[in-house]
Amino acid sequence: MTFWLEAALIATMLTDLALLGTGRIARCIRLVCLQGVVMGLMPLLLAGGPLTLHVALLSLAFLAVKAVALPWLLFRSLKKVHVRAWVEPYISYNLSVLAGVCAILFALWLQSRLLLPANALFGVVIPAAFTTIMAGLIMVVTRRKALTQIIGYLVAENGIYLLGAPLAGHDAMWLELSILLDVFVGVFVMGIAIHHINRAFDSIDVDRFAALRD
Amino acid sequence: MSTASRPCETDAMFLQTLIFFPLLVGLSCFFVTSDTLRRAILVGTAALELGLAAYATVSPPEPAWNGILRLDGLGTVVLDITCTLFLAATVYAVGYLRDEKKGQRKDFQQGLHFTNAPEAVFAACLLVFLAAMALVACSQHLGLLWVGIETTTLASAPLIYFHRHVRSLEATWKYLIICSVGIALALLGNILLTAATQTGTELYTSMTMHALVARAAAFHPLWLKAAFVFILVGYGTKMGLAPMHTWLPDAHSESPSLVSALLSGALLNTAFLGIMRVHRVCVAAGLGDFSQELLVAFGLGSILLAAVFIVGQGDFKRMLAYSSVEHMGLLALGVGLGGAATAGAMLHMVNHSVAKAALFLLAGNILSKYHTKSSHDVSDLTHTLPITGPLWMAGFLAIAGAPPFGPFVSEFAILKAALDTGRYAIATSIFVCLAVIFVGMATPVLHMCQGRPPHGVQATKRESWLHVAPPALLLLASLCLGIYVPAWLQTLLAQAARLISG
Repeated sequence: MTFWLEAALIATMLTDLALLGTGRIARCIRLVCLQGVVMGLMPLLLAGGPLTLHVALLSLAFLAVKAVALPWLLFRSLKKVHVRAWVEPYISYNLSVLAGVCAILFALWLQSRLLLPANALFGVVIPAAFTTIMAGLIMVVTRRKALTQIIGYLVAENGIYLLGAPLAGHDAMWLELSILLDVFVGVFVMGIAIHHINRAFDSIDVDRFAALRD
Repeated sequence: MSTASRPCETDAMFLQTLIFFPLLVGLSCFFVTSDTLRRAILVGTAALELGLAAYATVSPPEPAWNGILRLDGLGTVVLDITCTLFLAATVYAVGYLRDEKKGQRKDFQQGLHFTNAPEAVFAACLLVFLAAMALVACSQHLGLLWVGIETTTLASAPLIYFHRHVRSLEATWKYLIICSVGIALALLGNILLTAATQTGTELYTSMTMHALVARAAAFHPLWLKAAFVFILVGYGTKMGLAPMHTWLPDAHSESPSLVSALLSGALLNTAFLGIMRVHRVCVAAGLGDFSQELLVAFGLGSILLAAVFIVGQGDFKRMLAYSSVEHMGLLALGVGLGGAATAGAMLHMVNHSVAKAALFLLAGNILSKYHTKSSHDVSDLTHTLPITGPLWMAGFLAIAGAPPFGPFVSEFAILKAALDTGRYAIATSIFVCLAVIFVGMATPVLHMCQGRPPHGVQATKRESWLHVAPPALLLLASLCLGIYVPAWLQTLLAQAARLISG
């Protein structure tokens, strides 16, 4: 099981770097979908031991939302807005990827420095989780299009989820599912907002937002 | 036997009712086609919810869901404020929605055409927003608290975008993205808190306040500190603490005034409640000094920033928004100073909410009369709007901390506690900032009230009671709170302060 877990964590970090270096929005959404699959499998990989109904249900719910529903919502938004489907970041792709590599180094350094809590698996996920959180935040800050900001938010949320996955108590399934529901509704509401932004500005570049300032 | 168990059973459902009643009514609002009926439902639900909250204040209900839902002193204060303001806002909403013109109309700021969001969506989101705030107030589980706070963001975003023009869209987008990312950081904080609980052989501690406080002494201090920092920054974004406040002036100035009143008076308190819960865990773990120092730093920073931005602020709704940043700073500072200042901060939470909600509702009246948010273009308010004008003046005195209004008493309590504990530098800087803010707000407010009426604005002889009664009653409450705090409220506030400082 450890091999598959480590493979999944490395895959997560690679998708982070790929997301930072990808120019086409559609490809970004596919990468988010891929990352969603890895996230959905996490409960199975972390469980260790025989498959329980609880773990199977949780895994299924995460796969359904993170790998299917959310990418579908994003694709729908992308189709509706008919924008030039390029990310157009404020900084170059090379710099973005370099920032991602720095994030990985920082996360590894953090893992080596921290006094880890009793749960051993927590220490294992730290590098991948923090890299994903930072990659998500980098995308929120450096991307011009509203849709890519949502993608960044989702990636950061994936990272937070990854960090929390080994800590989740077995009686707290309701909590994980309600957090998942909140994220889903959040992206849904943001999707509606993007639709309105596109109608009002004929573009989803957030630099058009310049009316409100002091 | 059966008569004895009956009240207990109804009691067990009480907290669920408090949360699910407005939620279900809100969802059913989508199917109500009559405007009149929908507005009646809105006010009726608000009144019933306030009744439930009042009942819960008098006789605290039984915990539900294994203690995950429980209404303690702190939660009761937040719930009471929320329900009171919500009733005021919905009564105001009846007049507001009635006077909103249908169909396309011209935006007076940029001259572009815009429409309103469907009223059914507006009413439904308002009620879901109320349900989410009730959930936050009742939640003893930090994870559920997070879910509640995130839900308030999602339910209130469509409210900000009621007037569908580009500026409110910009405000809504900033609100959604900044608060979602902020609250995601708070979720990260919650996870770090879970990591902090995993010491020794104990791998799993429930995230309810009761369990956390009981075991706090054994927590990993470094992880707990990290958790507090992330939660303070995360919920602090929602609460409007500087420098994470950037969404706040935009959202407050662009949303309909009754929504601004709820955002400022009710929503910010719920985020503050989230910070207080984790602060309590830090106190129990012996890290009270650490969390208090951080609260003082963010509090002072917010007050300073507000003082800088209020001076010369030409938009009166933005001015009120920055004043909210100031008062949230005072709350954080009060709790950070500890002791008597915490009690002062609790009273200040009530005072600020009541006075600020009244001011935002009045700002709505001014906006609909003068069609401008610029304080330079408003004049002769006391004659043009004979009730709103004097109330606006009184509201300014209240929020700026002038006696005999409530905020004076609570600001005085916080200042006095700072001086009593020998924190002279802090006391001096608060005093200077409050004085600057007083002058900074007085200049535009006095200009708005005096002078000759602008060209083309006719004096209103009789204002609709729906527009003036809610703010007038709120300001009356603020006045009463300045003269006398009723015994039950004092007990409740003392209970809340004890819950924070342990």
